Amino acid sequence: MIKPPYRLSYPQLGNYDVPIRHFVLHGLGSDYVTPPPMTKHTIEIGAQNSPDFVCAPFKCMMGCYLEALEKGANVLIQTGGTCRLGYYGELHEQILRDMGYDFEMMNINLANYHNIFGLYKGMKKIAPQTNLFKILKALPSTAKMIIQMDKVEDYMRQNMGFEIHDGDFERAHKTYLADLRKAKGLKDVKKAYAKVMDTMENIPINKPEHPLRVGIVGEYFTIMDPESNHEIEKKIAKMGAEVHRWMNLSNSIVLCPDKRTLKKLKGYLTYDIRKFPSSLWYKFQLKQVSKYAKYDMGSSGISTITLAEEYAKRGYDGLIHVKSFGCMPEMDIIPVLHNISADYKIPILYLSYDTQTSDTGIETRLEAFYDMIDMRKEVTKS
Amino acid sequence: MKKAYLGIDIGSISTKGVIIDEDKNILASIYLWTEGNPIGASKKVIASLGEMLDQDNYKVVAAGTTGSARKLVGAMCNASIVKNEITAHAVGTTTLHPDVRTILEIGGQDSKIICVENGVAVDYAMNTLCAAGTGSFLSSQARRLGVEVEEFGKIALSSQNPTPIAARCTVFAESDLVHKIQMGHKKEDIIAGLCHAVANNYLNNIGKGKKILPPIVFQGGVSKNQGVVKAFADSLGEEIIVDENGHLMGCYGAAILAMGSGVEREFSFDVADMDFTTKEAICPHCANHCEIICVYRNEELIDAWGNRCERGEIKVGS
Repeated sequence: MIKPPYRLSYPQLGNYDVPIRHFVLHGLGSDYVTPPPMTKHTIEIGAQNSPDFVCAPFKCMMGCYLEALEKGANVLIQTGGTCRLGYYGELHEQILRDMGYDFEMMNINLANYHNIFGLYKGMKKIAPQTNLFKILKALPSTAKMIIQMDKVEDYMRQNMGFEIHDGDFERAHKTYLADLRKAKGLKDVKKAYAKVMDTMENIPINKPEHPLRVGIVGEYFTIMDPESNHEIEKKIAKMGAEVHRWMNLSNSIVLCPDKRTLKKLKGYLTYDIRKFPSSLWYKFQLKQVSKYAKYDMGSSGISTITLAEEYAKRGYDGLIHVKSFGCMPEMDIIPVLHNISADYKIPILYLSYDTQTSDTGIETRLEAFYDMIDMRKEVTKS
Repeated sequence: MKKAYLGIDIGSISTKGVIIDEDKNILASIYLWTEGNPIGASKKVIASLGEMLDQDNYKVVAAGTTGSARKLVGAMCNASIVKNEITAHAVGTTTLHPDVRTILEIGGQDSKIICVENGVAVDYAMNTLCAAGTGSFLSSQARRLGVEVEEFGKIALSSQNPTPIAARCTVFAESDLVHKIQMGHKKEDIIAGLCHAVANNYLNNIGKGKKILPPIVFQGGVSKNQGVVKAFADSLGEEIIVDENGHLMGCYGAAILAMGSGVEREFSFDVADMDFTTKEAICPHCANHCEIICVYRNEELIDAWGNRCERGEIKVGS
């Protein structure tokens, strides 16, 4: 049994370690161990200790847990999901225990945590010193941080391909993250956002009136984690494209699509964590794409279809579908994407990721895809 | 002195080179095996092209490279453009066959399909994570059967009753094949079955969800195998066009792209006599351990790549 002090850790997912750490420090009053940035080594040790045919996110998370445990974490957080991910918490725990580690697992997917109240009870267990007041105080700044981080990244994705001095946007983004790491409350978070947006809006760019627009859709983890998807967003943006991605933490778990306050409140209070990525969204989106899908295929499947159709409707030049190799929900919706591609005449590039480390294959496909949509635009314009 | 453009396609199995004039006519071409040595093969290609070209009347003003070793050879011959093989093939084929709608391509290590509309590629797919049904699969099976891979097509056409072979995956196909041999199936039937397996595998994997419209051009090394051509024709119920220069489409496209790039860079056939070496360095700055490749010409560093971030950058000339 683990005794306090508790040191919490959650696997790396993009840059979301910043808001998670913020919440743990200020809301739960516990220590947070940020796993080291994901590298080849992380994926290697993760794959070594995972079942062979499990999806890449499992292996990445496994590597992160191992590195976090080595760094001194003793409480590991795992979220649930409506695909195989639903069992990952238990499986991770079992494998790590068999390896001889001693730790506590906070598996949000377990039934008694499935709504906000259950989650509070669960949190009390690993952070006995916290109280409702503290948590409610830290929630707005954490939520704001996630929403603003995503806004900054959206802006960056849409403009970094046209910067005149190479690396301006990434430098500004790095400074922003460093500011956020130091933020103590809502005021600091807002200040950092104002600062970075001011910097980014003043970065000299050379953007054509009708740039190439590419939408990225796909599996929840791989799409949000640049290390897992070999930084495809940056790569395609730097070729000279405006890159759009809806899927992020704020759109999937923080924001409620309903505009009405009462409905919103009801949505949050009846939040069902087991309906991952979010019970806030999936009914809404399922209705929107009823032409293409009647049932939810689990995980981010419905969001992928919804956004693919939306980007197609908006007249984007191409879509990129990313998924980890063997991801069932995303595999299942590929025929739907074929239909969208045919209906709206929009090319889709399908990329599957496993634990490979070479960039060359991905670069070749991305470059070819970019050339193709570029030449296609030239021809249809005239 | 007329302008000429050089294109080189360095694939995993074979290296192809072509020189074209300003009207896109082929002046010289060569095809040889890479044999695991892209630098050596490219040097041989350049040397032979230099001999074939009428150097008193033509001067190469720009070079383009494509294929899996495009970056390496691009640095070597000071290329104006380094392009991926998908774009190069699309450009090359649509120049020679302006009305083409579908390009099927099976090479040594990869296979791809390109859909064309009004002379422009509008959709493509390339095999990912799996090399099933490519040229190297056929050549390894040829070795197993004791047949030259070049003979494959002719033998396949002589079969009356192709043996069904599982096409789902190379590993399954191979165990199926061994089983059928031991069962006593005739060699030509098995070879014909293999050709069908390659075609079906291609259509089920790469071609999935793509509308395959005529005219269809089939190219890449495997297109020289009439057995596979016939298998495609049977499965699709359409005529399959195989250009006699089909194997040159990649380098032809690279040459056209070099011409279109508008960048003229000095190119000399002396490259063939220079000494090129590569060295691999491991970046020590983080656990990613990026493998950085440095290219030297006569022991002088001319290019380096492979780093993921600026910490691993090696600047030329420093």
